Amino acid sequence: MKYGRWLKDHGIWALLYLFSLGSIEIFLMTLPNSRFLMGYTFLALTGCFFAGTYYEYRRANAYFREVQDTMAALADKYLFYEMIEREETQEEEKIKDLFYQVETDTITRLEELKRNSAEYRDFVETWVHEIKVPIAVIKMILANHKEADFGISGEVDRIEKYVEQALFYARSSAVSKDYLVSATNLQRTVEQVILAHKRQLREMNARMNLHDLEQEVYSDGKWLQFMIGQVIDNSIKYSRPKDENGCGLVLEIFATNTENAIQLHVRDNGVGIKANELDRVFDKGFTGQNGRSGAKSTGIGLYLCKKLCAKLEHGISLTSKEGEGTEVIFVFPKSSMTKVVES
Amino acid sequence: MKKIGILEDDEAMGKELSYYLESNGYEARWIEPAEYAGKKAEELVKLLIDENLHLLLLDVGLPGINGLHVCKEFRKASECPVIMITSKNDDLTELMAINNGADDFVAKPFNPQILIAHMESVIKRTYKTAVSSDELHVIQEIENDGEKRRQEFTLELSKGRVVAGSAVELSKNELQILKILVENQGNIVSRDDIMNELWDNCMFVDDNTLTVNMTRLKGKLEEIGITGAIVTKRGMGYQLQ
Repeated sequence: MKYGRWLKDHGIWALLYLFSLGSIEIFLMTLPNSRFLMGYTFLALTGCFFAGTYYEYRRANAYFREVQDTMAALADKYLFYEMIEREETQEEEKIKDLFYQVETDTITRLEELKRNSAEYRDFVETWVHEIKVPIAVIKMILANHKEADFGISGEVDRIEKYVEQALFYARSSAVSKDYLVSATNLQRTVEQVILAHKRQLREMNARMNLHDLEQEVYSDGKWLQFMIGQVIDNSIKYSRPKDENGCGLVLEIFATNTENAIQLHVRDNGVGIKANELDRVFDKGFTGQNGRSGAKSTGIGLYLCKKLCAKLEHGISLTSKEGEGTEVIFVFPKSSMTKVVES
Repeated sequence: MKKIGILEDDEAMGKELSYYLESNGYEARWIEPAEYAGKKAEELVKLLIDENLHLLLLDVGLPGINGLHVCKEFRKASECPVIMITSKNDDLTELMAINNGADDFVAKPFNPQILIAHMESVIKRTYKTAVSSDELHVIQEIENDGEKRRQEFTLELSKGRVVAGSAVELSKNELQILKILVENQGNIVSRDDIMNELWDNCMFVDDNTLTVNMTRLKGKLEEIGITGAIVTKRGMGYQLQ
């Protein structure tokens, strides 16, 4: 706050001051030998005016400075009411009252939103479990009547994948914790994912190179399977035409063990990503040049991986060279492992 | 023939699964929801025990009854292994299934072949005596230019080698390939079928690797004097005579 501005805001006092000063001076002018009195009155009134207004200004300024500091230190600004301690003047009391109303209203709305989002998540969760039953039945029927397939199993696999994505999307934005972190074997996890993608990988005659995967990391097995699955889906989508040996994709999956972390690398020989698009690959809805031309991408896969990784306290990074391939690295910090073991 | 109990509330699923198991050489018994409607878990368990099952496929979400509870009670009363089936595919559900005595856990929607693989491994673990022997003995009669000759060899699965007088070690892939051919002796097995089975056993080979493995396998067999055992049928596959 500035004094000048405060004075302007309280201009009525300046006006009254000038009026009373003028009135008294005019009255004094009518008296003989009043020069000394006139001078004294001018100094006294002016002094009082400035002293009084400056005192008021300082007071208000101190109040707002205190309040501002409190607000700045607060992470959840809507809880401000709880933090204001000063309520000396009537105005300060009123301001505090107003903040009380803001707080109660915000909390009510927040609770409502939380409840809605939890309800929605529960609904998606239930819905996904229910839709899985008919999908399972279709798969069973197709297994019993192989002659009636006509490519339906491939499409059912696709439906299954999108359903799974919806489930994890709901989980990723949920407030509650619904994962179970435990010792997870990378070899078995990766094998499960590859088996789930068997049809597509076999179709493109993919060359799989799995090595050094006998490691245990602390993670949720199902979540990890989903994330690796998203990465392999991308490798399949963004593969290059089959080479002279008829091989459409080379997928190398391996783990490295450094001092601070175990890393899981998923490396392909696909079309890669343009250098200027690299920092946006984890953004929601981002598909990049190659993705848009392929028309199969939703831009959800890596975004979900990032969100789920954040929840599980894993790291995820991506390197790529256009025309050479892409590598996604999951990082399992050892510090978070000891935390789990101790707890 | 192993008798498999299916406790599943979805009618289409129960029927299709029974049919699938029967066409894969099992006796399937689907326990319909009507049979235990309104009954308590304890009564259902008694019903299950009376069926004398070799394996129970148990859906966690049964109408009015908690599948986990059934599993626990059934396990207390019977040695019969249980595979839990659920559409709730998360680690917590899996852990609860195992804690309640289930031997294995399969998530819906499952690949039927993978369900069979899980069933086989559970059955193998539970009924160890009934397991087919670890050694496969092969006798071949080979006709070559009108000349008939006989040759024999033994495939030792756990040791990973072939014995015919002398022995030769096989790699994991080669062993699996030879096993597939021996199990289908006399029939032509397509490359696609071999690869499918290798993949299901987590050996992820591509076309080239299979060719290389095949050539090595033949070479190794010849090293110990087994010649002409595997015939390549162009465009069809391989055949162990």
